[in-house]
Amino acid sequence: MNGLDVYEILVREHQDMLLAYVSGIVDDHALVEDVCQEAFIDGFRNLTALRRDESFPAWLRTIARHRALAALRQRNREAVLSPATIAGMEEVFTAIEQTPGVGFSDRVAALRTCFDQLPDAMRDCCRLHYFDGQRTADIAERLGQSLAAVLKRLQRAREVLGDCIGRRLGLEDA
Amino acid sequence: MSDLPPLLLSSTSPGDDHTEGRRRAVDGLLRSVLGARHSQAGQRAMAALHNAPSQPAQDRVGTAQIRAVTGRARSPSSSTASHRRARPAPSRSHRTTMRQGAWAAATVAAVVIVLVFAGRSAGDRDDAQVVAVSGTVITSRAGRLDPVRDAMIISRGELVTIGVNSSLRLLWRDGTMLVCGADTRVQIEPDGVGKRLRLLAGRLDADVAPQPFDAPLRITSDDAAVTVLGTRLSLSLRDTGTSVAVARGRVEVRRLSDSVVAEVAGGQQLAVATSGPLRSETTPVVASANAAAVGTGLFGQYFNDIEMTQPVFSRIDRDVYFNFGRDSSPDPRIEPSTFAIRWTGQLQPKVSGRHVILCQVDDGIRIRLDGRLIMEDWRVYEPRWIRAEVDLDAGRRHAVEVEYYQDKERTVIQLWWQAKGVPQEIIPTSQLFPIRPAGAIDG
Repeated sequence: MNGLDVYEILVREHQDMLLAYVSGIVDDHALVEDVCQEAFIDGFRNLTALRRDESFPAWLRTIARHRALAALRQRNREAVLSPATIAGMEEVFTAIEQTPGVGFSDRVAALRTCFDQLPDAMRDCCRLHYFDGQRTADIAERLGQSLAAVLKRLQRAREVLGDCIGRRLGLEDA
Repeated sequence: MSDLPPLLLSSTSPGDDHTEGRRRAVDGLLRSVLGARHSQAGQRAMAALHNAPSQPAQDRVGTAQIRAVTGRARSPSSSTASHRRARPAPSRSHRTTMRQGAWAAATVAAVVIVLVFAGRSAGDRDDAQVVAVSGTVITSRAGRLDPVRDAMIISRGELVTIGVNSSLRLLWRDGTMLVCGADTRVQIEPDGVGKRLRLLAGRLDADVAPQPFDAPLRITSDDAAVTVLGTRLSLSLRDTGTSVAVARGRVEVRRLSDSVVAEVAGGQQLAVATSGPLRSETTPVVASANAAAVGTGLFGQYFNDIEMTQPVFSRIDRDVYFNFGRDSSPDPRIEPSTFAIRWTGQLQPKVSGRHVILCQVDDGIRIRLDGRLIMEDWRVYEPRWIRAEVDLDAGRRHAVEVEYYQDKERTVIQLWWQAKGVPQEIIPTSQLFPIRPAGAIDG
């Protein structure tokens, strides 16, 4: 088993995380894939520069972020994230990674399962918003609901998902 | 605020950049997970690296270096420290080389896979396909370790190791489903008639389709052999020995040390003691065995042409609900604007009775249910809703085939249903069961 083989396992372990991270910066599915691919390649080629006390996933996210912002600039699209915004994103992913005994993939699996168990109305509303990228006002019009009702439904869906994930993972602060 | 649940509960206040960052992170997480997309980024990156192994920096990277990364305790990272470590972007020529490398590797891999799996699918009905994998799962074949991926074929002789906090679901062509839990090692034995598995550690749950009488499924551990003709069971290796729980049907358990045999019926479990009689006990529920009864999606074959003559790759799609965008490709291996997809599998209704199947599509659509064409609008046209009405039986799984093609402009395909007691909804993953057609390429 050589270095590349082991790195492949590392890639598999962090792929979900990186996909989620880059999806927070870029909303084009194909571009997200490209950025993640090139970040993994950069990561391997520069692995010797990683300090021993440095978090590998955080280091990988930095590479991916620069890749993502460069790709957006090339397309003349929004390409600025303030330091505070970057810190806010980092806080979320670091918090997830620091929970002992529960990996990112477990959370993704739990989220998928919990999402499938959502009441139909909440699930479809979430898909239209988070997957189709539709604006809440457009969703309201499509579903024949008020904007307030759609916003409430999304908020309630997040609450239900949060509770469900906490129960499935046995987290105390769920 | 240290976990995902409170993150999902977090509120936002416009204008606060820090909160904006948290919102972006949660949105990204939901988009990536709920998008039902199967990322190929890691695979493509590895293909590129395997194809161009002679970069100076890479030569200095050894197993020890990477093990140091995998073994490092997770520590909080400073975003400013991370920011300082920004990598300079490769030069344009460098970037071009890497891209060409990735495409070249993908092409070679596709050819190899066609040759290998065309042979396998025609010959060996005892190969299994990966239909769901999470965490770190590795297969050992021919002295080589490989990460296990969705839609991969696991063949006789392969030893699969499921890591801590990981899981694996395998599907055989006859519908037999195996769910391997965390910290499990299982091998598809290289020889013997019928499906033969060896459990070396951990736990597996199986939902076994009826097997030929002369070729039953057999699962062995260090101290027991379980013979199955068709049932739902769980097998666990514990410190005290093997434990067998049967949810449905009947299995034969043989203690290997003295060949004492016992039968375990549905609703019973048996712990294989080292000596003395083997006695089954009634057990109320085998909870995790139910996992095998939940659907995982449909088997999708992706083609680079409308006539579906140029297969490029296959994967399990959790449902048929896609909006790829305008002139966009569902995957970098597929040319944008013009491509086709064929999904195959089974559909299990929630209720019996008349169902309305609704499809939003741009461009062509064709749906067969139990071999009968129920929807066809095979033409280039704007996004539109098409409906068909069919009678479905909740007690059975109906064979389904969905064919779709895209020819420029918008790229939409969504499959919904509605019935009495079932509100209009996207046909959910739990009701879809993938079937890989003979000859379909892998990966």
